[in-house]
Amino acid sequence: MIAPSSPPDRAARTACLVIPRFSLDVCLRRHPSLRGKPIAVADGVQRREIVCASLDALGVHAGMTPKQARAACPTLAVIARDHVAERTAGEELLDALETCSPDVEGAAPGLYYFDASGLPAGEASALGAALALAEALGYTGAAAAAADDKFTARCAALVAGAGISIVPSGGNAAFLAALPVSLLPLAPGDIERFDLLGLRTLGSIAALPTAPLAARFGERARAYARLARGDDREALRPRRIQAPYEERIAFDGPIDRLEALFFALRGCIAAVATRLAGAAQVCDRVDIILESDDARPPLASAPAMPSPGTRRNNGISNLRRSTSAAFAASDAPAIGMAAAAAGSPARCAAGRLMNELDASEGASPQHTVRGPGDGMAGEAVEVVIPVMLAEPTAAAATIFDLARVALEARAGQGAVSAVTVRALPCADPPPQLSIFDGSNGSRRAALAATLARLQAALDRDAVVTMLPTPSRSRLPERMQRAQPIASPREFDKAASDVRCKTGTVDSRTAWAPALRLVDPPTLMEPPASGVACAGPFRLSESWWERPIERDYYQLAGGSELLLVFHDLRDGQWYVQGVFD
Amino acid sequence: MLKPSVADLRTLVERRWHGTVARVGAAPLPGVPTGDAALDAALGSNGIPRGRMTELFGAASSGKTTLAFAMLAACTRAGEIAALVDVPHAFFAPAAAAAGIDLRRLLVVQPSNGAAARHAVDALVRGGACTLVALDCADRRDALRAHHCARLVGQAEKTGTALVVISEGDIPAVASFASVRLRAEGLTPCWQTGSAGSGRLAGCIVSIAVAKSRTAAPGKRVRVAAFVPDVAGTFFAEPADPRLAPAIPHLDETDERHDRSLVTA
Repeated sequence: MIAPSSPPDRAARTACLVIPRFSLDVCLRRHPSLRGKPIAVADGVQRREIVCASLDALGVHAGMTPKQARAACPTLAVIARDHVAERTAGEELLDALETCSPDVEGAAPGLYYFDASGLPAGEASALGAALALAEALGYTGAAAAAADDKFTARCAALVAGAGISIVPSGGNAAFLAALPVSLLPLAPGDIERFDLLGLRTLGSIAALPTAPLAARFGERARAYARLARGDDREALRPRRIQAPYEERIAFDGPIDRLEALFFALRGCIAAVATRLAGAAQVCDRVDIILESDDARPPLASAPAMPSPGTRRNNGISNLRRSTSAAFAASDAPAIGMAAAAAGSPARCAAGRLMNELDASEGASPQHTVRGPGDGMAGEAVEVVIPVMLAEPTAAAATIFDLARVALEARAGQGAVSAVTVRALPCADPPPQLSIFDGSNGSRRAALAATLARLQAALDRDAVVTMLPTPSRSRLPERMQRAQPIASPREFDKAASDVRCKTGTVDSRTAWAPALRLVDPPTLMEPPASGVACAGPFRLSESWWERPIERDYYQLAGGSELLLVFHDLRDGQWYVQGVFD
Repeated sequence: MLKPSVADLRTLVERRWHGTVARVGAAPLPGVPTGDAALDAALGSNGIPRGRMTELFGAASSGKTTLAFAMLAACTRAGEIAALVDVPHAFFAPAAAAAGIDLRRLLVVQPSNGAAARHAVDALVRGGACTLVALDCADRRDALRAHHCARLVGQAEKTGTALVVISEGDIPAVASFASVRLRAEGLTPCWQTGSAGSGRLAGCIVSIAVAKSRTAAPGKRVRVAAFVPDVAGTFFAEPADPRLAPAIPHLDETDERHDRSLVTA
């Protein structure tokens, strides 16, 4: 099943390095004194879930609560998961893996892929080197494998335990056939359903015809079948180290009018966008950095509240504080004044553009306080306003439009001494335009800008596409599904969902009466005899949970044309909709 | 007595109203089709004008939503993106799909209150990505005020967006700022008797009157037949085959007999 040596020629090969207790190893690197003791790493909401435990922690497994874990192992030490340290460690490991292959991908903490195609020293040598690197960095129990695709390589690494394994080229299906179904990225509940059907190995799923499987489990079953056959189509996404594009304009004197700021901002954004486009790159986030110094008289009308997270330096280097969230979610003022946060009145002087950060939890800028002294005169303040783009783009007009929205949405405006625009190219390629038939790039950019504006003004769930789902239920209130839309990509995704029944557009031009849904249905008096109506149309559903039995009628009541039903369980009459 | 010429009449009117009367033959505004040729003709052959506000109004069950769906269907069928701001949260996707709307090109915004609805319409109109933006504010009299309308109309003119407001006709600001007002005068149901004795709603006849138009002469009246693809509870699962639908002839203002003969309610 597993060949000890690599085959000579192959088109594409992928290697996978799995570190099973990555979170724990990262913690141990920071706290070496805990090595050899029973410890566990907790994460989740209020650190209520054990995600990883050492081999010494007998009886403790992932998914337990810390209390359950301590009951099983009284000497257990529980450590909080450190995501920042994990990211740093992951980057460090990827740097090391680049000695094995130029294309490396960090898929998840503890899960790394690299391109193993045509390695001169052979796959076994590369995998051995990867394991040696992981061990040298302090990671225990690592496993490495190579196969034709990512899923097979990961499965091989998982089932091989510590060590290396190589799946021969073209042998994916045979290798996967005996492995358990649980290796698939299953949706909740699917493993139980597979078990009830007696499908316990990947081979049993691969042997089934895809269409009936998809009919029973939905479209995701097609992906299951592909993976089970060793046909993972997800390509390796190599890490790319991107340098940000940055443009800065310093003003002769502080400016406190938005129009002047926009004038400068437009030039910066145009320069950044030109450089992005010239490099055939796009970005999905732009940072607008406003600088101000308090050497001039204060303009702020009210000092901001002290911020517990604000930091300042005593001299040379910049210190940056990041609050949270995205600008799109904040109706509240989001340009804050970091200098004011330390309690000194002199620090309240950053200008009207720099205030009111901490008045709201939804605020989202990052602050840099810099300059000599402990926050006294001469201290400069930087406010970073992140502008999230709904769609990766290099269009200056779109970026400027959203930057203007971000600045206008903030309460309080005032003096700025310099403005910087920083754009970090995103790793993903530019979006395909073909799905938007007939719409060019500018239309798509306009849609992205419109969606970003809507996201800024409304809740995320308020902007949706509504798709009918007649297969789910026949009850009108359950016959549609709202798909939140935040970007044109999500629009595309919703459109390509073949489970909905709108895959084909009805090309006829005849009108159909519109029904305005009344949800929840409202009570009504039983209709009088002699009223024009049609029906009944019986609907019985959900007999296994909350039985529903309704007789539907189309009723001309007074001047209105209604869709009503008689609930056979409670005997009441309800209005379900109004034809309008 | 000599009949006054058109020029004389023009002079009289201009003297009376201290303004210039628009010349006949001016280039018609670009428009969005309504999905019905007769209604398009009544509106000046191009449908509802782009860059302007159009109001569809009428009481409950008057047919205003049917008319709006027809416009959205015509817009999305042409490959354009449309948006519907659904303030009362009454949008029913299966009915929209049955009306021919390509839901993949329809953005539905369901704001929680009137202010959010105004923000949404403003963003949609200013963005210029949507050819047609429909605001459903039936039974929300306070949804739009004069200054909101002025701002929206200005933005729509800049971006060329056709702004459609669905109301019950009780928002004075909308009535004032709308370039076109279409009054839905009612749905006339057409019942079809089934083989088992129980009938079904085969369709409706929608009567629409052009109450106001700055692009064509108002006062015209159009009636359009709309048929229900399927019955309640099982309806709209699949697009209905129009060949199987009951034969409801297309009606216009010159043909008054059909609703008498078809409607048996």
